[in-house]
Amino acid sequence: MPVKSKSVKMIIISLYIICAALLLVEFFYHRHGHFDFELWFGFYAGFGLLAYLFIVLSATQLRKWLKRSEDYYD
Amino acid sequence: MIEILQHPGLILVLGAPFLGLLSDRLRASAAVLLPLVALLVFLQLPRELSLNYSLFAYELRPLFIDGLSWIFSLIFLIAAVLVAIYSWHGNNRLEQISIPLYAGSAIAAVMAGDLLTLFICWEISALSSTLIIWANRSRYSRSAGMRYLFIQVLSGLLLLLGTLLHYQETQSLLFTAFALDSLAHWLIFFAFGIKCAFPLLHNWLQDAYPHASASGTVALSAFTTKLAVYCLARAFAGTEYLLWIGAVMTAFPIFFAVIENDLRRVLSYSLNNQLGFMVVGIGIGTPLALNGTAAHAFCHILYKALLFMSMGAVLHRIGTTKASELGGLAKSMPWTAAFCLIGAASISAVPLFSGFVSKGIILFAVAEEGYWLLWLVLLFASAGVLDHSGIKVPFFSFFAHDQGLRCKEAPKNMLLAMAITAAACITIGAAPDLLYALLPNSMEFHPYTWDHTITQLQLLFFAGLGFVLLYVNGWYPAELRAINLDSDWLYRKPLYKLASISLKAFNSSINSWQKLRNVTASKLVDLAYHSNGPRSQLARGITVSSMVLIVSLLLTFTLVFYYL
Repeated sequence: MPVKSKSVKMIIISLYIICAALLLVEFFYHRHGHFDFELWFGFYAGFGLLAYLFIVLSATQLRKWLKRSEDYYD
Repeated sequence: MIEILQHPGLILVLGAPFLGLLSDRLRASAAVLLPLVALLVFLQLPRELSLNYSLFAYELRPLFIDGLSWIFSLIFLIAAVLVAIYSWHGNNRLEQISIPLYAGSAIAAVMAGDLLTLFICWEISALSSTLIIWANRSRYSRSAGMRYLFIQVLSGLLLLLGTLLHYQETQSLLFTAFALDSLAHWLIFFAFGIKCAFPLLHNWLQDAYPHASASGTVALSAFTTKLAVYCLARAFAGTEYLLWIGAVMTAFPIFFAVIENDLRRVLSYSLNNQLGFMVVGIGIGTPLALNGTAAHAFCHILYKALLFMSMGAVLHRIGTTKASELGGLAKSMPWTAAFCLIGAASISAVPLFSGFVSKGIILFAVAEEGYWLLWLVLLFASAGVLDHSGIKVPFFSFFAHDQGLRCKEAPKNMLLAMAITAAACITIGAAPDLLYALLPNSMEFHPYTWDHTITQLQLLFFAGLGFVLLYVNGWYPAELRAINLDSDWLYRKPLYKLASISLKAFNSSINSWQKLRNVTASKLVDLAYHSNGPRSQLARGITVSSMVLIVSLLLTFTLVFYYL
């Protein structure tokens, strides 16, 4: 749905800024990890975003199979 | 010498029935006092304790405290106090008696050092928690409670069978670490697995919990499943199956939570997913991982109770927790909304909140053992937690589209319970050493490293970015007035149908047999009536003169016979 409220726009813009800052921070400290892939640039960021999109979009598809009316068991 | 009457669980179990004798107002306050007394008594007990009794030939250990049972008992008692404060405004007598009974039996089960005591407490907690569901007296609570009871009793039966077989093999009833090497131990494993909501054995949880009252669900969310986690940790730490069972548990409920409409059921799926993290910790089984499980159970009981409390407050004021009916409640219930957000931040493991310092231990322990795939599954599940508990629950009830619902803020006692719980979530998150001091094993773990903090923030904020992208573009699944099928469908539809068909067949066969029996019986009765009835040959009256004639004939016959 389109965003109308100004304050919500501000929240979304600040989210973009925080996300960008969190990515850039990677250059400013020495990173450690148990696994090699943890050290790829933006691994956690990319994994978080993709995992989230996959979960929500595939669950939406799951609805086609599982959705029933509220009185299904009555 | 510690007397058995200082047993905190026993104090609750024995005290609960007396609550029923009090008036409504007095009972609510006594219900707060009772777990408080039990908590104070518990804090006087040493952290290592074993009380042995012999009953006939059996060596029993009804009170056993070590590092693991100590922390679980502590958080159970804290939860019991919080639930009592939360439900103080109510006057549901059955519920107010059942909750301390349930909490007490769960605490006694955690402190049980032998399988027989464990079994008895297991069953009392099953029965009392069913009473909590029934006490709601809603349209669905009776049948949901019945299904719940059936499954809990099944778990108890498996435990009993396992216990008997185990005793037969080892001549010991002590509850210690078991290996999965015999039928007895597999039975016990499955008994725990049912209560721990293993995949496909899980659906009793999502089915029943949303049908209890506002306070009833808060109580239910704290004890049963964490009792099972404790039992698994005591008996089956390091069992490799648990790694993958736990991994599946963290992942699959997420998908159901995304499309579920009833927010208390969303929280039940989320509970299931959090149990998965604990089960993985048990599967790893190192002292660090077991600390992770204990710490996560501790934090989870608090933030999950907080989330259920906030949704309970919504239920109390609005009468529903269906996302499709809610929205914009932050205007009417700002405090409840704030507490809900704290619970959401804690479960999502945002730095400075409790989940961050407890889930971190489990992920660290998994990585230390080199299970990279398992670790990725847990990371995946962490992104999922952010959606259903971190965003969906607070967003669709308190924000999103304002439905024009206006109500009073939650009752003061509910707010107080939420405030204490929220304070605990933040305190643990900000000062994790307070929690780490309570853990069973010593460990070297620092949650607030640059790596852990930044990577976790990246994961959460980019997942949040995913939500914004979907929501703004209208791709986020709408909240619909509908239900979704889960494994309970199996016994609520096909098995139910099969059962009713077989019952019908059984009844009709009984009927025809009864008919046959009636026909045969009536023929026999007719026959007997014919010969023995009032008008039959045998019942005919005999006159005095004929009697005299018969007697004289007999005498004559005897006389003749004598002379022959």
